[in-house]
Amino acid sequence: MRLDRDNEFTDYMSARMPALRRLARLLCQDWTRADDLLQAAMTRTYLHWSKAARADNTDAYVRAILVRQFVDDRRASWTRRVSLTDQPMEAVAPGTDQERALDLRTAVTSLPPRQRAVLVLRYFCDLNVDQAADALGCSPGTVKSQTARGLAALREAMGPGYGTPTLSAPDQNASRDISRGEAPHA
Amino acid sequence: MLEHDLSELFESQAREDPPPTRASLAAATRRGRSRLRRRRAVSIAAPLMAAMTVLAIAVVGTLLTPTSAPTRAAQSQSRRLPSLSLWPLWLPPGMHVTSALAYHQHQENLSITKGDSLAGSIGTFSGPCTASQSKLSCGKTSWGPLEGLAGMINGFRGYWSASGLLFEWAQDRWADVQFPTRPDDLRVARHLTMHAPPIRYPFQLTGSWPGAGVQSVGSSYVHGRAVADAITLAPVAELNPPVTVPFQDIVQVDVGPVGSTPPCISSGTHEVINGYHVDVAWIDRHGTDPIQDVCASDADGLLVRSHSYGTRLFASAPMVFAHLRLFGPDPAKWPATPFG
Repeated sequence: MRLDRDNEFTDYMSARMPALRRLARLLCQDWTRADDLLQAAMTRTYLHWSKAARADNTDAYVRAILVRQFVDDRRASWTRRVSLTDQPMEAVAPGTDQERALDLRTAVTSLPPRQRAVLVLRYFCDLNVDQAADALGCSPGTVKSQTARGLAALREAMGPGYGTPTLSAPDQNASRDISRGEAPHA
Repeated sequence: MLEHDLSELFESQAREDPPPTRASLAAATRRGRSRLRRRRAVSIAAPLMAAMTVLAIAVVGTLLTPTSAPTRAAQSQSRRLPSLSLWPLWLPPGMHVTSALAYHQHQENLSITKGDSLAGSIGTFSGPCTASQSKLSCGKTSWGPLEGLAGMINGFRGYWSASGLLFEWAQDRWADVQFPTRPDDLRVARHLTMHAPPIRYPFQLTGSWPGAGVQSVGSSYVHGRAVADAITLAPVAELNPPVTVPFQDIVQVDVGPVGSTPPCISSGTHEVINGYHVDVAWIDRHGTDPIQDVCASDADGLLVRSHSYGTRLFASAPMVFAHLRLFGPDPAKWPATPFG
């Protein structure tokens, strides 16, 4: 029984790790912390695997574990330490669009964790208010208010006059993954 | 428009080429399995890290090397040992306790095997808990789903979970018993004693270490004798509750027979510490503080290693190794305390 459980968990996680890691990276805005978050979330998922495997939507269940782990971790003060890295800063080509993109990225990074999580769930995972509330374990009203506050904070950070498209269009053929709540891979 | 830009920002970030990951599925499975057995909190790592970070900074000036005049209170605290609070007087046929890990505050786990396979476990944890129809909640941690009442066990109410039997064996002290069948769970639970066999230590730490204490004791059971095979040393303020992962700012001492695995790392430097030939190596942890490993492959008939995690340590791995007194391979000659 335990072996079956472990194999099932391993098979699932092997397929989902890249997508979960990308989601963790968006939440943390940092690959190093994303890996820490993913590690913790995978361990927590193992603990709850019997329930996750039986869930109507295992992907949504595991995503909720990851997001809640992120919010929980970020409540703890240690995560507010300055993060030192030997990675070079991302090179940004001169130009208004790129500068605005960097400004927006900086503004997102400065958002409180719950607001950032709400925005990632709404605008990357394409979840509606109820689905985001399920993922975060809070009420739909909280999702609405956190979304509004997050967007307001971003607008304020970006300054007056912000409102024109600044980023290159995404590849519409880019592969979809678990973080968007789609059906598992075969 | 902002929403559109935000969506595009996230999309562009998601398309970035990721660096090699430090996350490990194997490690998650291993840690999850271990925690599942112990039914221990899965969410304490982060707060613990917070506490460790703050307290390690706070204590770094007061810990350090062995001193000659510790206060009585500090010495008492630093020499308090985690011990096993429960021991099975009955196990299903063919099963044996093979190893145990004890922390302070009655948190421990006994691993029980049949042949070479893990067949059962007994875990304990402390704290006020409340049971609802669906789960047992203990502070921030919960166990569940509960699958019904298991009746009274030694005067306390027991609950079935998906993996075993949960019951309060003393006020605010809980046990989690997991065996292949529920009748086995019940019978083991009803035959637990609070008198575990005393643990013998193949080494002692000499000198006074007023700022540090034993955080956990790992032991193994051979021919009915309990012998320590690993102890973790940490600042006194860090002893409770147990640290999970990743290890940080601790020194661990492992001892086993010559030839034990993992072997010493021979690619490091070769030195003589405390009269023993040792290999000293640094192990990269890919982005976090490296591990320093000091290992003697044959120290009076034992493989002995001290390894440190983190940089804000109360003592280095070589310093701890330099203060080890070894007692050879015969457990009959081993003392009952790791402090000498």
